[in-house]
Amino acid sequence: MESRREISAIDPVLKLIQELNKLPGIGIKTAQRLAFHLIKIPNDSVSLANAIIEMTNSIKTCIICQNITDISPCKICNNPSRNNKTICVVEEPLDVLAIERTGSYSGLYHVLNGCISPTNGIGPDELTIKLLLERLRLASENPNNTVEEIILATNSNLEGEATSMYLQHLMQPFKYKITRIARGLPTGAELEYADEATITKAMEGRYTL
Amino acid sequence: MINDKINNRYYKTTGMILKHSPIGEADRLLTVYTANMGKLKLVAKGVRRTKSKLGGHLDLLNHSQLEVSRGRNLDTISSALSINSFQLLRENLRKTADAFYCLDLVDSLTPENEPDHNIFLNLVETLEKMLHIENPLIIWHFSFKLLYLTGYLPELYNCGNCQIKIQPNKHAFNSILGGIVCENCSIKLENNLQTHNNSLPISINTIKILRYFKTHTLDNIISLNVEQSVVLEIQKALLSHITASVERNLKSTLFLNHISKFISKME
Repeated sequence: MESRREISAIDPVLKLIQELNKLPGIGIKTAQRLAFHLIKIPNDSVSLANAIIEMTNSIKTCIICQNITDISPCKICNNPSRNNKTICVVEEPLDVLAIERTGSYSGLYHVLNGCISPTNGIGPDELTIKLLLERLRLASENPNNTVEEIILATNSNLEGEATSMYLQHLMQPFKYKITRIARGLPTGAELEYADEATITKAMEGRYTL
Repeated sequence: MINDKINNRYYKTTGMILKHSPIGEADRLLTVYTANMGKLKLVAKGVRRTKSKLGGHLDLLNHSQLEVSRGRNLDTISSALSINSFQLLRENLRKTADAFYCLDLVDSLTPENEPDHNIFLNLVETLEKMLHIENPLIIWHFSFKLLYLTGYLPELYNCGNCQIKIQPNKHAFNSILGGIVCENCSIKLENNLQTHNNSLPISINTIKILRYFKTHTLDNIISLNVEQSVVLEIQKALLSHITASVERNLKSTLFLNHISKFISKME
């Protein structure tokens, strides 16, 4: 038992396995497999390690939209060709990526870093809501204000809807146009399997052809 | 014989989704209060994907019919159909906050795998009432009934310290001592810092309403006309009692308080 403990303390491979094991979705077996794979490809391992170090050192939050970025303000906020009339409010940085992937939105963003989830102890104060309000207040006081519309693009589950409703109440004094992204059937979905709430929303949001 | 094997592998139940947390790539670990099996932890595979067939049926605050396949550690939901998704609660901020509180309270007060059909009925009936009626007493009646069903009911007839019958006088509600405390004892306990900090003044009307909660149904409660100050006292007394019972602050009450302050400011 004593000798085993000694090995785990000195063995760099075991240390790596422990570190990999901390990542989401990586169990002890996968961590072992990854560690032994990295031993086989020393060059790639070094570039991976460097990439991680570089990422950790250079990552920060954009002072305007609160997205993660390497330069602040971020590339989206700094891009003059983007439409600065709309701000799209999303929960996570990954949601920005998802919307950017479509190429159908050219406005600006605001990242909340989560959603209101009372059962997990996350209330409005844990999110970047105050910073969003400050941003809107500054914009409305600015004579060259360009912002016209706020798009609420939080998830369409109970927590996302609660966050959206809360923001809508908070932003009413600003007199901006507040919109909520549409809800309905995803592409390729079958009506048969949809829940009532989705079908109701899909019916409400129908359009003339 | 074959049927038996199949029955061992699957079971059907209905339940309310109380809580969820993400696990793995696109899965969720759900806490479900079922009608006949008590509180269960179940895995829902792939529900975070947009095109998930189950996703819409397994959101929080859904009353759903479930088909579950047994696993080695955790059971996995193989199909789900929502019976009621309480749409009107989701569209109103105050009602959403109330619903979050109800779900959190059931999750906090109940142990896993201990069936109690009355707890399930209490939750579903309360949420159904909340759909069309706005009355602050609904969630406090729900809390009281849940405390009763789980065995945490506060003492309302005898002093929590000296056990004598409570007389209409000056009383206090003390969560550490488990209920109402008579005038003599509340004066005596003022010197004890710990019990004193958990002591709240409580009026005779509030005690009457709490006693009424015990013997009457939700429909009777809704027809009552109760002053705002009494509602506030009930809220304070029950929340401090719940905190003492579960030995931690209920996270959803922070949001509940935040929203009620926020909405009254807006109005």
